[in-house]
Amino acid sequence: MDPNTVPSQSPANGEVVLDVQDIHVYYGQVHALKGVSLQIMRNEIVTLIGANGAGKSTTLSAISGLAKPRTGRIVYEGRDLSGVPAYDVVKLGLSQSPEGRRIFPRMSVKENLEMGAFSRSNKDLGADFERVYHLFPVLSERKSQPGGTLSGGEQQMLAMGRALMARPKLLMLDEPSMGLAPMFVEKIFDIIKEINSQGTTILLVEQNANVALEVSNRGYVIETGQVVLADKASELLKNPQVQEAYLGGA
Amino acid sequence: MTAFIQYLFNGLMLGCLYALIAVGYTMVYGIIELINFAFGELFMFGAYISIMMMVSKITLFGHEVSMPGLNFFLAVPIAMAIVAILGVVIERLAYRPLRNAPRLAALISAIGVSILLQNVAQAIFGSKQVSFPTISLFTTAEGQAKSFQIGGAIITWLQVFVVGVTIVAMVALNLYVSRTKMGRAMRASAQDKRTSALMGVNVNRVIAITFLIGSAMGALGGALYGSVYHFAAPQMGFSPGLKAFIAAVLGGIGNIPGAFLGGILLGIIESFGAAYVSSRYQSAFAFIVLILLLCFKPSGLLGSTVSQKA
Ligand SMILES: Nc1ncnc2c1ncn2[C@@H]1O[C@H](COP(=O)(O)OP(=O)(O)O)[C@@H](O)[C@H]1O
Ligand SMILES: [Mg+2]
Repeated sequence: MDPNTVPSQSPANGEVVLDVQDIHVYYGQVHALKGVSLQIMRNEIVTLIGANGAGKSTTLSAISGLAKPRTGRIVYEGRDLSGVPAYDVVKLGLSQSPEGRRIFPRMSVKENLEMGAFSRSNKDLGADFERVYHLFPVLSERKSQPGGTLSGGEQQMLAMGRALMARPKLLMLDEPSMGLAPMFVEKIFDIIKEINSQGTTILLVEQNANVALEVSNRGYVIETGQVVLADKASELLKNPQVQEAYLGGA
Repeated sequence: MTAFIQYLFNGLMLGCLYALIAVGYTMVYGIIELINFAFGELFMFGAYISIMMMVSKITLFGHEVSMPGLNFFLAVPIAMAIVAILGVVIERLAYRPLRNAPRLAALISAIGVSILLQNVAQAIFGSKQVSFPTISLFTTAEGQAKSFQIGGAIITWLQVFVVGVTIVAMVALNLYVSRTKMGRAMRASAQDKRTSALMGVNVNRVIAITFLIGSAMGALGGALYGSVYHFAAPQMGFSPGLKAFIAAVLGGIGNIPGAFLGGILLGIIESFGAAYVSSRYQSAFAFIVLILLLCFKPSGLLGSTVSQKA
């Protein structure tokens, strides 16, 4: 299914899963997010694009509860996440494959995946392992190997697989193509589409803006802590300023 | 040969007592990189509270108070539970507020807690040592320790009990950390707290449980130490605490089997050193081991050569 042929939903219709309302996040004196707002509809793929240091990862951290906004609100499925600690956010169905992969290096691949399912009370993970090993066959070959011994690309797959083990309703992927060989980049995006078609809403952060927008319904452009542009992915791909700044002027 | 077996077994038992404190050091260091010097004092409280539970009368704050006079095997688990809670309270009040402060601040806080606890013990139990009641199961009608001989060496059943209990505790703890969900959360938190939180781990709770377990183990060590040497005193935890810290470093800090191995090796080295070199330098051997270790294998015997942190 090519998402570009599907009429993408505008934030005005459809069910809003996540509503980020004008959040401000600080790291000490650093004002990292200066009023970011965005909405994600059920079953969408939404991409955040922006230069290094724009605030993309901070936005994901805020949604996951790792960075608490000083002002503004994050509403997920109608629930204000303000007082919810990070370890409870994932229980609500929001999981993340963080920037830099953050694999537990001295735990086996299998244990890393089990950690991904930590928030779930259901103890039967058989079907989940099967799903992850089906999406990433290389992980099944490396099951008992320590996470720290995997290659960068394999760690990236493990980070995604680990995030899937939580059975998220909204999956956030922070630069999933980073460190991957070009031939794997396309594969990763095929997998992202597959995960989405299985019913998972996806919020994507990418440097590889071209490929990301190709698979997305909508996108937001972030510059120095603010959303400067929000549109359908197909429109962003055509936008001359976006092309110039993020798509290599193509 | 007789003497050799005797010293070996004495060292093994002493090493087990060190190991019981060393696991607390190693688990806590593994997760928050803090040397909780107060484990020596929690060990001391383990001995005192066991005595309190076992006698029918004790002097507290200078006043005689009646006590339940429980059996040793009931008194020790109660002491472990009380000390475990004390350990969690210490973490909450003295260490958690300093979690993001420079590491030296937490270390100084740990030393402060350790001195405070010694003074509290002195205020409650007095500065003179209190004798540890004999355990009827391990004592003959004449008041002698029940024992048997191996190759002429006299080994008491209490010593056997200490070694047995320590082995069971170590195996159970290792299984807990390697096989259970909470154990996995402990290892994950030791490697990456932020990502652990992202997985749904309440890291503060994991740290509290680590203190709970480490303190209970220390209390068990203190109770066994008190029963072997027949006393409790406010300063009794200082030296074993220090030795246990060396044992934890020796085994590779952050590593539970390492703490066990380090404790046992240290106990045996001390026992042989005292017997064959000079008993006046018994404690010096532990420090010689530490210095040699830091020179030649600072990561410890079972520690990984790469940094423990990812
Ligand atoms: N832990 C931190 N401490 C201080 N400043 C930070 C921290 N993390 C990010 N920042 C700053 O916040 C801003 C946004 O960073 P980030 O969200 O990582 O950007 P992006 O993911 O878009 O590259 C940058 O200016 C960055 O330097
Ligand atoms: Mg980033």
